Amino acid sequence: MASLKELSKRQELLSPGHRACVGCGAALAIRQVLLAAQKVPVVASCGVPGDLHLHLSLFGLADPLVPQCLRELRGHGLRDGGGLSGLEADR
Amino acid sequence: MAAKLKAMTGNEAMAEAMRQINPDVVAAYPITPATEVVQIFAGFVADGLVDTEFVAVESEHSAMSACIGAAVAGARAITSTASQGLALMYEMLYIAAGLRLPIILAEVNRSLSGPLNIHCDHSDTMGASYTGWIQLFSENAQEAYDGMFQAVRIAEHPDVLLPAMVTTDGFIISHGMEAMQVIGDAEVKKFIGTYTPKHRLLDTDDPRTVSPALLQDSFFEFKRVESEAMRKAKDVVVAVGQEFGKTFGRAYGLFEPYHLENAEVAIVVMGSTAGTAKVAIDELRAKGQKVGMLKLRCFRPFPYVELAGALKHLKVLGVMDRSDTFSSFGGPVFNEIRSALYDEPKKPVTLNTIYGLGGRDINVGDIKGFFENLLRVAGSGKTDGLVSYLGVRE
Repeated sequence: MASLKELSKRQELLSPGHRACVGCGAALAIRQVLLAAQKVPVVASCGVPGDLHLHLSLFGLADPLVPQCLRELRGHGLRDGGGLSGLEADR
Repeated sequence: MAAKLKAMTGNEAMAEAMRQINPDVVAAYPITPATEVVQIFAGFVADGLVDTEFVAVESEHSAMSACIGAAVAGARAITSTASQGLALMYEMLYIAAGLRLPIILAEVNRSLSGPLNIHCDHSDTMGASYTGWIQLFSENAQEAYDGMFQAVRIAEHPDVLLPAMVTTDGFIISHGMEAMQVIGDAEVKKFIGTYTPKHRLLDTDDPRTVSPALLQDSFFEFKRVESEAMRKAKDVVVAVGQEFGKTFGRAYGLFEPYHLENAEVAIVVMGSTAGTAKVAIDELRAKGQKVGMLKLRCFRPFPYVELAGALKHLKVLGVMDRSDTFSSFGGPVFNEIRSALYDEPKKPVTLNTIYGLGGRDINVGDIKGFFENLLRVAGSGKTDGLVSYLGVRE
């Protein structure tokens, strides 16, 4: 398991410009998750509007280094499942 | 061309069309009277006749969610539903359209509860008519089958990129057997072409955000573009319908006139009732009555200019709605047709009748009776009110 010290040397995947408040726990958490999961190809937000959704995806400011798909509260899992099916079909 | 004459139900025809489209992903949940569409298609998957990833889900909301995910990933995605299923998809219908995903939905028109009813009317589809989906209605299984291929082309057209639903009438078409022309697989493949989305979510070399948060400064522009896409869809519906006619011998448009040009009194109908109305019109024409019909195929986009042009010469027009808005001002088709005629300097007296709710039979005699009322209005110039209810006990 990588330590925080090791993670700090990796490329940041949460790019500047999100609208979370300074010190926001959710932003810190997702930053650490992305650092730890450098090989995860897609981010699917499971936050309701007001959480990560708005913080990370504000149009014009969102500039992800990995693809991300955001949505409303219901149906996250199935949309992600559908996305994986689409990926499988695409192969 | 390797077309074959086959006896098929509407559901079999829709499923066969799906097999020939061979979509990347199908996600669906069963509901009467659309169950067979996916049930038959699941058989195709099990038999290895398609390359489709079949996602069996736990609800229609999930079905549309999975189709959205698949379409975002760049897949050609199809589902099927009816009635409460379409209602349960409702939230996702807007999202599919707003994200500009050309998902195809084989929809079987059925009433909405309550009270519970499983039979045909257009309440489900009319309720979804403001969700941003293209809506094509079918008179019979042949039109539904043909419509599925056209829907793929229309939805995926770069000027459109909107989801599309092709509808049949529950049980009347979905479970009714008819002789129809089935196109060869190779011809279908050539007609629909391959789907090459401009962007794929899972392209890690070109990362993108799908469905970002848009606030007061940008959301409106996106919706304006969506509206423009629906406006452009009208010409694409016509072009694809004409190309289909040149290729397979059955041309389609926004609507189909039937003895309309020289008619003085006419009706507007959608779906299977058009077939019954043609018999009624033939019988009235044989007695010298100048009656006709406009069968509205494309309800979304709503071709208001073309409709006004085709209907303005009439003395009296009767719009037949197989659903009610419960606004106290008639059915949805009536309201839009009447609005389309508003700016015409010379326009018909336009009346509405609501019929066939919950699968109530509509027969030749019923339609002839409605025509007799319209002819009486044409003769006397007097009406008993704008909205009537046909075939109901009161």
